[in-house]
Amino acid sequence: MTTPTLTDRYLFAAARSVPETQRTEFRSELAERIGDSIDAKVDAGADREAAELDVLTELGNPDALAAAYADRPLQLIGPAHYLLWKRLLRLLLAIVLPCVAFAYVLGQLISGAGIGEIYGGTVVVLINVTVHLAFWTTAVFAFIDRVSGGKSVLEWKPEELPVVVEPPRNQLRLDVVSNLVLIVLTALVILVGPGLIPSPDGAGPVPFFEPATWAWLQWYLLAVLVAQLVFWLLLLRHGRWSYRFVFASLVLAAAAALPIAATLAGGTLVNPEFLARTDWTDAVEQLGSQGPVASVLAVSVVAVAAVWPIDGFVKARRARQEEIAR
Amino acid sequence: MGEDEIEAGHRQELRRGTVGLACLLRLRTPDYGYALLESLGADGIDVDANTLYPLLRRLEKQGLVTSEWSTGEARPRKFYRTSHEGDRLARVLTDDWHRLDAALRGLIERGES
Repeated sequence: MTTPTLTDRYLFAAARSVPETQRTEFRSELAERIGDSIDAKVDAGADREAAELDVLTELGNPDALAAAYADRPLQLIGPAHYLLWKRLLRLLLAIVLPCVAFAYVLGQLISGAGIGEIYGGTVVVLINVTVHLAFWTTAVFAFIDRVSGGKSVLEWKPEELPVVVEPPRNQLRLDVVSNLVLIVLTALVILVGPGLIPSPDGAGPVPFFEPATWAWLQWYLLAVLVAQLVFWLLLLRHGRWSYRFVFASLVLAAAAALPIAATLAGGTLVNPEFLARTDWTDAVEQLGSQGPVASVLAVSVVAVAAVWPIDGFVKARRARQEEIAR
Repeated sequence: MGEDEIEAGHRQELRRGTVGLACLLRLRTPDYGYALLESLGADGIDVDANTLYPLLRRLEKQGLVTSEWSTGEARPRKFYRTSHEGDRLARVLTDDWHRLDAALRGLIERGES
C-alpha cells in the first residue's frame, strides 16, 4: 500500500461531508480538477510537489469547498430567519429571566437560605436558563432554516408596520386626573382598609397592622398623599414635566416607601398577634424582624418607589428635547 | 473598505451573471472543466475556478447541461454539453444581454452629448 498523497487526503476530507449518493461522482470531479490544475502548473515549469501544495492551498478548507459544490448553506440561521430569531430570543430572555430570578429568590428565602447561598444560586440558575433558552431557540430556528431551504416561513405584510404613536395633546391632563383618582382611592384604603381585613381564625377581631405603628403611619401616609395631590396640581399648572418635577416625584415616592420598608424589615408593621392566628405556622418568624419574607417585601417596596418616577423622567426628557428642537 | 475593493466588488457583481451564459454558449461544443476555464479566459471571460466548478455542477443539477465521463485520456474527465433546455435559456439570456447593451448604450450616449 502506498502512502496517501496530499491530494488523496484532500479528496478524503472533502468527500467525507458530501452525501453518500453523490460521493463517488464528487470525488472524481474534484480529482479531475486538482489533477488538471497541478498539470497546468507543472507545464508552466513548477515542481510537481510544490504545484500540488499550491493547488490545494488555493482550494482552501475542504469542508467549505464541499459545501460550495453541494450548494449547502454555511450558516446556522440564514438572513431569512435571523431577525425573527433575534427578536424572539430577546423577548424570551426579557420575560423569562426576571420571572425565574424572582421565583428562585422567593423560594430560597422561604426555605431559609442564607444571602450568599441565594446570590450564588441565582447566578447559576440564571446562567442555566439563559443557556437553555438560547440553545433550544437556536436549534429550532436552525432546523426551520434547513427545512425551509432558506426561504422565510413568515411573509412580511405592510399591515405589520408599527402604528406611529403620537402622545395625545391632553396627555398631562389624563395623567393628572388618573393620579388624583389613584390618590383618593389610596387614602380610602388607608382609612378604611385595615378595618375590613377579617380575623384569620374567626375568633374575635384582631388588627392586621401593629397598632402602635399604624397609629402614626396612617397619618403620615395621608400627609404624603396630600403632598402628592399638591404635586400633581402644581404639575398641571406648570403645564409639562421638567427635571425638577421628576426629582420631586422621586422624593415623594421615597417618603412613602421608606417608612413602610423600614417597619416591614424591622417587624413592626404587621401585627404579630394577627400572624400567630393564621394557618401559616412560621409566619411570625418569616414576617417578623429580619424575617426573610419581610426583607423581600421591603426591598420590593423600595424597588417600586425607585421605578415610579421613570415615566415622569421619560416625559421630562421628551419635553426638554422638544424645547431644544424648537 | 478601500476604493479598489469597492471597484473590484462592483466589477465582480457586473460579471457574475454573464459567466452562466458564457458557459451555456461555449458548451454547445462539449468540453471538460479545466479546458473550459482556459478557453473562457482566452475568449476574454475571466472566471475564477472556485466559481466555475460549482457553477457547472449547479447547471447540471438544473438540467441545463448534460455530462459524460471520458476515460480515454490520462485521467477520467467529465465532459459537459449544453442541453436542449440550456440552449433555450441561452437564447433568452442572449436577448436580455442585447437589450441591456442597447439600454446602456443609450444612457452612455445621452451622457456624452
